This record gives sequence, C-alpha cells and structure tokens, in this order.
Amino acid sequence: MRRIWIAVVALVLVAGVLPGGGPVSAQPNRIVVYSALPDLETSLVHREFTRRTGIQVEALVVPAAGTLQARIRTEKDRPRADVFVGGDRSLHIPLAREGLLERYRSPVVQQAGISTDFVDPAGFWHGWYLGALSIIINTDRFDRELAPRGVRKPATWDDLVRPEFRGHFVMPSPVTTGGGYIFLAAQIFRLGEDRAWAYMRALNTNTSQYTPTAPGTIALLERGEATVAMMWAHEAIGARILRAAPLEVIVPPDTGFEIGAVSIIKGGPNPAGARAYVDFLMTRTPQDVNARFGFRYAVRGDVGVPSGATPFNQLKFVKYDLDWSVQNQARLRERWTREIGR
Amino acid sequence: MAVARLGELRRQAADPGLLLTFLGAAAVLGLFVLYPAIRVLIYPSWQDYLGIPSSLRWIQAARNSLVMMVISTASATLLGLVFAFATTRPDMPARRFFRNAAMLPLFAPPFMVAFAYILMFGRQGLITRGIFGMDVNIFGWPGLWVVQTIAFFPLAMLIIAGVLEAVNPSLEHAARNLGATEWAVVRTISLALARPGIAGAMLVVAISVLADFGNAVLIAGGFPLLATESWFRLEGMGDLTGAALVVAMLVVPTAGLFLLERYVVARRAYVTVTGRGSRMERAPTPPLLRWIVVAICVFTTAMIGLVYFGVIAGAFTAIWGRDWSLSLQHWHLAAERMGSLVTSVKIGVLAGVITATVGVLVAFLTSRRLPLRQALDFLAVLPGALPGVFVGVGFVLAFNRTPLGGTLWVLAIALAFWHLPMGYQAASARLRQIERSIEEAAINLGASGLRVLWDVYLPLLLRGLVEAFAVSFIRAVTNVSIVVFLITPGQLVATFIILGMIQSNTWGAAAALTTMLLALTFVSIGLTWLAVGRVGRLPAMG
Amino acid sequence: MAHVRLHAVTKRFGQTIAVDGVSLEVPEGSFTTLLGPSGCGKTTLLRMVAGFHHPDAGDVFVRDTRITDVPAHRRNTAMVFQEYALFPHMTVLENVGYGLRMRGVARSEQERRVAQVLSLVGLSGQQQKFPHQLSGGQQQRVALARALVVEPEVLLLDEPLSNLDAKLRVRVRTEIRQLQQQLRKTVIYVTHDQEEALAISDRIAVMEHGRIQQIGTPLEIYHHPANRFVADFVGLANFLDGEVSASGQVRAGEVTLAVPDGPSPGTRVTVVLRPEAIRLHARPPQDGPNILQGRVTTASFLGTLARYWVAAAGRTWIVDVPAPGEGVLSGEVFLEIPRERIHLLAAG
Repeated sequence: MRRIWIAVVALVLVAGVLPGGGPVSAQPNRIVVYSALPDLETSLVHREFTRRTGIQVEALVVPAAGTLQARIRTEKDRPRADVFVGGDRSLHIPLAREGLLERYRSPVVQQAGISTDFVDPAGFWHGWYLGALSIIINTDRFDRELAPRGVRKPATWDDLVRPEFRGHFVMPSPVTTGGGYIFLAAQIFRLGEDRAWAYMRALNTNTSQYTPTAPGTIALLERGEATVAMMWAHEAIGARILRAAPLEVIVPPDTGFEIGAVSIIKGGPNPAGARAYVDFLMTRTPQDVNARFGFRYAVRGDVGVPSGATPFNQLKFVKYDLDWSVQNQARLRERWTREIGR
Repeated sequence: MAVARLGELRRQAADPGLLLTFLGAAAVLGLFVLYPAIRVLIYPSWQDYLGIPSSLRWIQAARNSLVMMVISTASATLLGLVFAFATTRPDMPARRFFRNAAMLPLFAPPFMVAFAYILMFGRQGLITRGIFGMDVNIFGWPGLWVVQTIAFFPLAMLIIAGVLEAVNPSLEHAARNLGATEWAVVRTISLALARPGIAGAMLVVAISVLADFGNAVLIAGGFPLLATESWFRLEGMGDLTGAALVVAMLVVPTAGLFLLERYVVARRAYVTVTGRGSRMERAPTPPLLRWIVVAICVFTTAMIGLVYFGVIAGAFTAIWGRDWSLSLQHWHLAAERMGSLVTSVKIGVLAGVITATVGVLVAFLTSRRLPLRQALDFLAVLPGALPGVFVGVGFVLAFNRTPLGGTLWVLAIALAFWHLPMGYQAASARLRQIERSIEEAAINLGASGLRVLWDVYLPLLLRGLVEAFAVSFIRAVTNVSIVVFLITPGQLVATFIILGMIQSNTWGAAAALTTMLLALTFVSIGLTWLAVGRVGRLPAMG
Repeated sequence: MAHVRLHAVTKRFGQTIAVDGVSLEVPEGSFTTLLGPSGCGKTTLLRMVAGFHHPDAGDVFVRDTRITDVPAHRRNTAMVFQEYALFPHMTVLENVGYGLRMRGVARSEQERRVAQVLSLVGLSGQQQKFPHQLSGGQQQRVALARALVVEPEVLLLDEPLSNLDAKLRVRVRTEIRQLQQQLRKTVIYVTHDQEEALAISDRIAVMEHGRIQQIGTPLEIYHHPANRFVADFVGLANFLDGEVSASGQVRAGEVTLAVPDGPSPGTRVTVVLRPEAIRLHARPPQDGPNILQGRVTTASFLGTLARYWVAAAGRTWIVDVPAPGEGVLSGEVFLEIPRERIHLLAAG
C-alpha cells in the first residue's frame, strides 16, 4: 500500500521532468513569441514562418497586450521571450523607454517600400498591420428598436452623443484598453482638450458599459446587449463574417487608428531568430494572412484590402500626435477615472 | 520556564529525524508561502500605497467588492444551510442525490457558472430569449449575485453539514422529552448548536466571493471589483505596480476574515465530537420544513443542471443565439487544443501529490509537541487568506529569476501550496480521530517519531491523503487566477486556452474544450477513488 | 536492589500538581499496583515510568540506571493501554510483532516468538485476524501479548480491564496474575478498582492527590490502613471519631467502646471498624464488652452475604453477615464488636 504511493509519486516526478517539463530554453531553431493577436491568426502566421525559416515557434497567446507587457516587465532579469507582437505601438513604446527592447532595423522595410510612418525611427518597433476605430451597429437591434422611431444611423463621432442613443452605447474602457485610450486621445486631437472632455461626458450619458477588455465590446454588441459601439473595424468585420453577427461598420471622419507592432525583447534567448521573425512579418504572406483571417489592414501596399472594408488610405484620420499621447497617458487616464470613472 | 524549554529541546534532539523534518517543512513553507507574499507587498513603493485613497476607481472597486461580499455570502450561506440541513437529517428524501448535485459546482472552472448563465439567461439566452422570448440584461451585480450564490454555496454546505452531523442526537431527544415541538427542537437545539459552523462557513465563503474573478470577469460587466481590477490593470495597462497594489488591498479583508474565522469562530465550537458516533436517530423534522427545504433543493439542483447543460449545449450549437443547428465544428477546433488537457492533467497530478504529501506531513508535525508548531500551522493555513491573483503575482516576482522560473514546476508548486490549507486541515481532522494511545503504543514498542508517521499514521490516513490529492487536483486543473501569471508557452493549460477563447468570442470551441475538461476531471477522480477502494480497504476506526 | 525506583518524582500540569514528590521502590518479580480514585496521579506516575511524561523533579531508575531523560521509544517498558491501542490496519501477527520489528528481529524469528506468546495468552492461530474481527477480551490479550513478546524489563498495565464486563474482568485478572507469576515478570499495574487490587497484587500503593498514602501488602492495607482515606477507599468501614477516655477505652459520641491498648488517654482517635467484624444477634448475646442495641433500617441480600444498616447508639452502622441461609433479619437487633477487630487511627 505504501509501495503503491511511492510508485505513484515516482511516476509523477518522472512525468513532470519528461520533455515538456523542463525550462523553456530556446535552441538555435526555436523562438518564443508573446502574441496579443487571436489564436487563429497567430497560429497561421507562425506556421508560415516555420515553413519558411525552419525555426519552431512557441507562442503564448493572450488577447490582451497589457498582460504581455506586464510579463515582459516582470521577466526583465531573465527574459523568456524573444518577440512581442500585436497591440498598437503605444503599448510597445513604454517598454522601449524602460530599456526592455532591442533595436533593429529590418532591411525588408526598405526593400518593400513600406512607408516609414509605420516603423519606429529609433528602431524599437515595426508596424505590420493597421486598424481603424469605427462605429459599429447591431443592425438587428437597431432595426427593431431605433429605426421605427425614425433614428438615423450615426455617421460621425458627434452623432453618438445624440439623446436617442441613451443606454445603447458601449465602448472599451480608456483606462484598461489601448483602443479606448486611442479613442480618447483622438477626440482631444479632434476637438482640443476642453471640448473633448465635454464630449466624453456627453457620451457617457449614452454609455451603458465601458468594457474592461477590447473584445468584450464586440461580445456585448454581438449578443445584442448594446446597439451601438466604438471599436476596431476589423473586430466587427471578423464577427460578421465568421459568426454571422448582424454588425455594420461605419468609419467616421477624424477617426483614430492603430499601428499593430512587433518588437524584439532585449536579452531574449534567440535574438537571431527574433530578427528573422521581424523580417518575416514585413513580408507579404503574414500580412496577407492577417488581412484575410484577422481582417486587419496591412502596412504593405501589395496586400489586398480585407473583405468588406474600405481601403485604409480612403479613410479620414485625425491628426494624431503619438509622442503627446504616450507622454500624457497616465494623466488623461487618471482624469477620465475621476470625471467619468466607471 | 526557559530551562524547561531547553530541556524539551534537548529531548527533541534525541529524535533528530523528527526535528530535521520539522525544520525542512518550515523552510519549504517559508519559501513557498511566505516569501512570495512578501515579494508582492514590497513591490509597490510607500508612495504608491499612500496614493490608494485618491484613486476613485479603486475606492469604488473596494466598495463594490464589499457589497458583493455581503450579499453573495448571505445568500450562499443560506442556501448552503438549507442543503446541509437537507443532507444530514435522516428523514429527508434523496439525501445522496442532493449532496452530489450540490458538489457539482465545485468541479467547474471558476468562470463556468457565469459562462453557462450567459448562455442560458443572457439576451441570446436559451431560456430567456429562446423559450420565453424575453430581452433580459443579466450583466452587472444582479447576475453576479446569482452566479456567485450558485458557485459558492457548496462550500457553505460542506462546512455546515459537518457541524450539523456532529450535534449529538441525544440532545435533540432530551429537548423533545422536555416538551419541545419538532420546530422548536430544530430552532433551539440543532441550528443553535450549529451557529459557530454557520459563522465559519460565512467567513470562508466571504473570502471566496472577494477573491472570485473568474465569474466576475464574465458577468460583472462594467461593475468594478477589486479582484478583477488587478487583472485589468495587468491586461489593459501592463501596470504591475497597480495590480500589486489592488491585490494588496484585497488581502486586507480576506486576511481579516481569515483571522476572524480561525481565532474567534473556530474557538467557539460548542459541539463536542462524540467520538464513538452515536447510532441514535435524530428527532423528526417538521413536515412543512421538510417540504420547503426539498423545494429549494430541487430548484437549486435544476439551476446547477442548467450550468452543465448550458456548456454542453454550447459545444454542439453552430452559432449560439443565431443558428441553433447541431454542429460538430467546435469540437474540431477544441481537438486541436487537446495537448492543453494533457498539460492540465500533468500539472494537476503534480500539484495534487505535493499538496497531499506536504499536507499530511505538516499535519503530523503540528500534532507533535514540537516548539514553534503554531508557526508551522499558521503558514500551512495562510494561503487560505490569499486571493489567487495575489499568489500568482507573488510567485512571478519571487521565482522568475531562479531555475524554477518558466517551468512546469513553478506553476504546480504555486497551485499546490495555494491549496495546501484544504489538504492540511482535512489531514489534521483525520489525524485527530486516531486515538492517541495507538501512537503511544508504537512509541512504547520502540518506534521513533518518523517511524510512527510511516507505520501508523500514513496507512490510517490513506483516505485523507487521497482526499487531499483529489481536492488539489480538481482545483489545479480548473484554476485560472494563478495559471495566467505563471503560464509559459510550452505549458499551456486548458483553462487558459478556454478563457482566451471566451474572450475572443469563440464560444463554441470554449464550450467544447470546457466539456472535455469536465469529463477529464470526473474521470480522473473516479479512477482515484477506484484505486483507493482497492488499496485502502481499512476497517472502520473505533 | 529494587528493579524500578522512583525518587521524589513530581509532575505538574499548568497549575495542577499531578504527582507530588513520590518515591517508590518496585522489587523484582513483584506485582505492584497503584490504586486510587481518578485524578490521584496513578496513571501519570505510570506514564512517567514509560517515558510519556518527563518529571519536573525527581528521577526514575531501572536497576540503578537513571532513565529519566531516556526518550520513550528507547525504554524497555512495554505497556498495555486501557483502550488496548491495537493498530487497526495490522494483523494480530503484525501487531504483536511490531516491537520485535523495531528491535530489528528477523522475520522468521518474529513469527516464532509471536506464535509462542500467543499460545501463552491463549490465542494460538489468530495471527492473520485483524483487531476489529476479535472480541474485547481477545483484543486485550493481543495487547498483552504485544507487550510481553519484547521481554520488557518491566510490564506496565494501565487499567487494562476497565473495558471488559464484570464477569470477564474477574476471569482475566486472574489469568494476568497467573501469567505474571509464571514468567516472574515485574509488573506495575494501575487501577481504581480496590477489589481488583486486593485480589492480584503483591503490593499496593494507595494514592491520593498525587501522593502515596500507604504502601503495603493487601492484608496490611486492608486490616491496618494508615489513614482515613485508605481505610475508606479500600473496602467499607464504620468510622467513629472520639477520644481515648481511659487506657483501652474510647468514648465516641454516645458510645464507649473497649479497644486494644495503645494510645494514651486524651488522644483524639478515629475508630475503624470493618462491617464483617461486627456480629449481629437477633437476641441479646451473653454479656461482654461492646454490645449495642439497635434497629435494622435497611437490609440488602448480596448473595454471599447480607448487608445491614443498623441504627444504634445514635448513628448508623454497616454490618456484613456472611452466608445468610435463613434470610435477612429485621427489627430489633444487637451488635457485638470484638475488641481485637477494632483498628485505631490518629485523628485528623
């Protein structure tokens, strides 16, 4: 009886130490990637990468760039990952400022003629996809509840504060999500700070929820828990195409955008592999994959527009001051919490 | 006094094996329980701590957490009391059935109840929209209240049932003999004597409610809570300092409740364990009470059934809420992630073995007359006061730089030690049931301290060991709060994948994988009990 | 040389003094009983010999070797526990062989010695049974066998019979005594049952409040109790408090008794009179000293004797009359108290 217990314990120890139990040490043909993009796109891209370069990818997929950011910070004495991919560049820049990222300038950028707007001049991050903030409508609910009352679909940001949308609006929280914050900054760039705050307060009376995570907004909208939302266009398009969600995307003028970035973590196990990864993301295939399956715009000019989306260069963006938005992030978030704070 | 202590120590030295084991256990507990906790608390600076009151959102979160704590604890404890009553009075029907049904929520991953209720009662809910055609918003605190009540009442039930069973039936008979009606007996004797147990249950449930975020994440909507705040700080903003601060805030009430339970309520047990287990029957339960209790139990069981049904149904539905046709597509997606189930089991087994072994060992050590055993006891139960997120952050800060960091082991150890109190307390309770004289007989015949553990206690505690293992295994396999901090790319566990799926709105696959995880959990537990049944066929004690 | 010796042993638990400066010598091969009411310290004393308690003061010696600081598992003082304490997960063979296993005895030798001791206690062939499959009496024998097989220096028994029913108790105690005499083992026995103690002991130490009140043979204890407590605890007695009025005479209340010579006049004494020492007469006996007239208030028929409560000379007397074949007396009776059966104690 005791012998059985010993046998069990021994078995368990062996099982734990067997391959899969040891520390993740990157061999020359393996890299570790922290990805904020969904599982589907990530695994497709990585499969292509392995096929192309022979390097195995071990990915940690967390659809929240903030968590990955935090992990990179806590692991700074002994980084376990080589690459951080996904999320707007404003999530990568703080890490660069803390000295946690490695500089690199991929030659592919020049070769492909990618605009230098999409790449960090200091070399800490490379943009490889784009997203546009937009108004999303649940047409099902809209047609049932609002259209009969003669309400028109919102076409601009200012339309959103109209009284008929009271209680129908959701958006991601500016405090905990990148998208929410970019929206707030975009309003400031559009209206100037004081009027922007008035706008946010007015919008607040229509808001039923500020979702703590970005996908949460789409979830609510899809399920019909809200009628109108502010969200990344590609999320809505994805939901519509993959899950037949009754969503309509309207990209208003003076909107905000994200440049989805990839950066190399300083002191990671396989720097050469990391560089190869960045180079790869600058090529056509992964950006194409991201467009076709993630419905995100590519930074390369030779990738098709995602199905059902307006070409990126036809969208009207507000003049966005990246440095200012990064520097004032803490202050603005604190003020939002104080004045609106939900 | 000091001389006596010294003499005592010298005598302990005569049993060096025991003393060494004691020191080893203390070191292990210090390293894996105390050290990570300290690391979290010292991570933010003094100024960060002082800035807490001025953060509006955190004050709100704190207030909301306390409110939820009060209402969810009240309802969960009440429901637990009803079930405890239903399952311990011999004249109640279907006792076994209700008890098993009530245990089901304990097997489910923390977010499953919320997930299922959204599927059932949300705007696209099968019941609300599909059957009743209603348009209901269950988000926010009402939904969370219902969900937390269902999720946590089994805890209350287990604790209160234990106390109710220990009430000596002859007390009830004596009351009847003196003229009390059946109602009066229940009110003035059975329930009155169980009061410390009820209080204890409330405190334990309260801690769980405060620390709950699996459910809160899904159903609280925009309702800020401390447990979820730390998560969002990290997820949304990469703010480790903020997360540590919030988590430190959360520790204050949980630690307070914990201390209250341990040092105030636990002391007041009026019920003496009769030891020999009286075979007397209990006084009959008033019929009206019986019917009310049964009705509540039936309703609750149905609610629990909906949870499991909801998840399984979600796995087979093409697009929930829009396309109700049967589909197997989600299973393909889930099947690709089966490796994560294997990893979950591996970690669960590791964690379970560690908890069982350390739990029994420490229970044995604290029953000896060794110096500082109070400290050992405190360390063994301290994890019960700590929320999962707190432990997760602590282990990251404490062990990332060590060889342990980034491996399967650190996750297994974190889970094992977080669940140590359960294993330890179960083992201690069983240990106390073993007559002291058996151990003395062994000593008298020449067995030293460790031999006593090996020859006498371990065989008798086998059942306790397995229980500790089983509890730790289930909770490790279904854990989310610690996993998310310590997960590494090579060791993705099922709960992590599922949560990611839910957050990216691929519900079908999430439901399918959850179903697989549940099946795995049940099968593993079944196998364990079979194994014990074969091996541990011991005669009943006393 | 005494086999076991306790010297001025004291043990405190918190504020309570359980054993108060007790000294005791246990001769080799003797059956010594510690007798007293619950809380008197007898079990604590026994457990100090076994090593489960460490004395706060004083020492324990075995054959002049000081074992006070030797831990319990290294002493050779096997004990039979009140609740038997058999290991429920081990067979009889494993239970009894446990001590041998601890001493590193080879398995085959273990089996041989276990078989030997089992036949000694009348349990041959039971090796493969588990404790829960045995009766109470059988379990007790297993416990005894387990203690005997290790050939201890001294055998300790802690109220081993209290869980048996009355008839069994009598039978088993005799067997224990026979076994002890056969093996010539030194035994220290603890009980609160005075009849048991009288029946099987070579020497009895009567204890109260942590102190030994008297040590002696059963006869000595019974017929010459050293103080009121011993006299009252062992057997029944009639007590009269009084004063020596003249040589060979004590005046106690309404009664004046002729007593054996001894204490000088004026000494305060307590008269101790065993119930069986008083003779009961239905009619007035021939003239003699110490004859009292009284009335029977209660009578009990106890089989081998009849016990009477007689009111005489202003108090109640307990009188035992052996073999009452003719039935019990009632009404007016006469008490005759032989002078030589009176025992005097110093008052107080």
